[in-house]
Amino acid sequence: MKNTNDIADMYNRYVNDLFTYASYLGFPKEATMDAIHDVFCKLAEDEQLLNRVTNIKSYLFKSLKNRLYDIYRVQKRNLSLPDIKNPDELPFNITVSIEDDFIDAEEQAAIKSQIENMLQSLTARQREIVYLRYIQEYEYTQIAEILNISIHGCRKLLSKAMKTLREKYGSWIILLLLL
Amino acid sequence: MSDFYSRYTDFLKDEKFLRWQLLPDEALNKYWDDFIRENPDLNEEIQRAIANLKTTVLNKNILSDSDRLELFNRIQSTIQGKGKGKKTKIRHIIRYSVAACAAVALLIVGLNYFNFEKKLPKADNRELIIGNLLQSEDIQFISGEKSHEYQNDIEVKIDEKGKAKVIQTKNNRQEQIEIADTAFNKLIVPYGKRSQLNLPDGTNVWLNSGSVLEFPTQFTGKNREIRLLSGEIYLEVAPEKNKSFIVQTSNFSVKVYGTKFNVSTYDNSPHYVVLVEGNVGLQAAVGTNEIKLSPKEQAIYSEKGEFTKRIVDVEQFVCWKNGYLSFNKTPITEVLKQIGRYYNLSFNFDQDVNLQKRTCSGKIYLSDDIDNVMTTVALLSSTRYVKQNNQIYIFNKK
Repeated sequence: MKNTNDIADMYNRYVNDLFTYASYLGFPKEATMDAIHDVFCKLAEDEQLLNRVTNIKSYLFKSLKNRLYDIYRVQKRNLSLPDIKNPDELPFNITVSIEDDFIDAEEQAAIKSQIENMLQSLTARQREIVYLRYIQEYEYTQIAEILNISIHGCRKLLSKAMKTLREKYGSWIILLLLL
Repeated sequence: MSDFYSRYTDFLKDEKFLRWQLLPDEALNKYWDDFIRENPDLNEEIQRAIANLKTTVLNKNILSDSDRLELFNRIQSTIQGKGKGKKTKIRHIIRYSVAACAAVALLIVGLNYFNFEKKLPKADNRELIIGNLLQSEDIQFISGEKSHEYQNDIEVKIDEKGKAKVIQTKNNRQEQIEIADTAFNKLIVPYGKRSQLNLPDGTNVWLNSGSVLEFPTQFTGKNREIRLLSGEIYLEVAPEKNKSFIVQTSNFSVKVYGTKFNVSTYDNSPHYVVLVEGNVGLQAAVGTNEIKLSPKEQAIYSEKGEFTKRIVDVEQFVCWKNGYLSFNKTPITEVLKQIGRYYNLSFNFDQDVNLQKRTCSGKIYLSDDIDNVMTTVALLSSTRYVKQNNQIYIFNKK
């Protein structure tokens, strides 16, 4: 009884984010729902798990990614999907959408375009780390686990992303001087 | 890139702001800390942009409510299937889930949109609706001479042997209670509360706020009969070949042949029945003909003893049992009426106010927190609200 209420609690807290994460990884709704289903069922089976894991949310993210990749591997044989050799090579695209009644269509388009351009200048892994750090506010240890890299690797990834954005969108002064 | 900031949208278009949010470094942090210190009047817009970017623009929720519920059901079924005969109450978990989930989503929206002013809006009476939060009452389960009172929502299960078990939804506390072998058990569910009843034949009844239901401990007669004295119930009737199920209301009776339907008999609204699945026959107290109802049909009872039938979007009428309300261009007065019942709020519609003509479209989760619900109502009807003590003021958006 206690177990199922914990599951319900965790489901409610994290299902939206899990779904968003999966869609940013490029997975369609059906596959995502299957994967989320599998992840929670597995969670329910392992009663000790909740005691062992320090951060449930990042654990769920990692499990989801692995499960999605497994599903991808099976479906790849049935459909012709591009070849991705491991979960760390999955695509990552953040959807930008502005559903704000206070902003008119023209401004919405301007905001959307600005943000999309900036995100597109980054690599998939850089976008993913932005998502995990900025939106999900994970610690480095959790990000490292999800991305399957070291903590040092996380710092490097982030600073590379900062550098890309700074160079592409940064100070005008430098450009003027070069002219 | 202009340095003229006035609205939060200006920040959302600014690459320096975006870089600061997405990938902050020391230089950017210093720049913006200084900026905020030097422009305190822009702080509110900046905070709004910060919140907006993270929660709305980049983290849009793309899972629909029904998908979320359906997926949870699926997970629950699988877990149950593998469980070692553990009896899990699916329905109350779903209700709890939906409400808890809504709390988080709605709170985020609230942060972005509203200024919580300490002072009340000036009473321009044409544009103000006032609601009062009333004293909450207990649910009463009356059987024979005894009356049991409950502060929280409950689920009552009566088994074939005539024994009753009451489960409190909030904390899962269970108790066995003695009930009389009577035809007149009464469940009184006041405004602000809800209940569920599982009858010995397997029929499930969901009671909405403000309902009074009379039912027997055992179905001994030719038929299975219950009496809806007031309010609204949703039923999933267990099929039983030789015993049809009848719901009696003050104006008409509904004869059921194994099916799912909603009966609504509130005092200040027209009485009606909506059929989801199966088939039912309606018999007015004053008429002689039995009207048959098909799935997706609603029959509205009129004073003359007649029924008007029409096809409806069933979901809008039964979603309350799943913990949310659904509206499509519904007048705000009707929306507030339903919310009022659920949370025991009384809204004042005496004055003819323009604002009452506002319509509302969308879904409202019946969260435990009234603020969340009112935030959504305001959002869906382009109004604003302020809650002070036990009163809610709804007024036009500036």
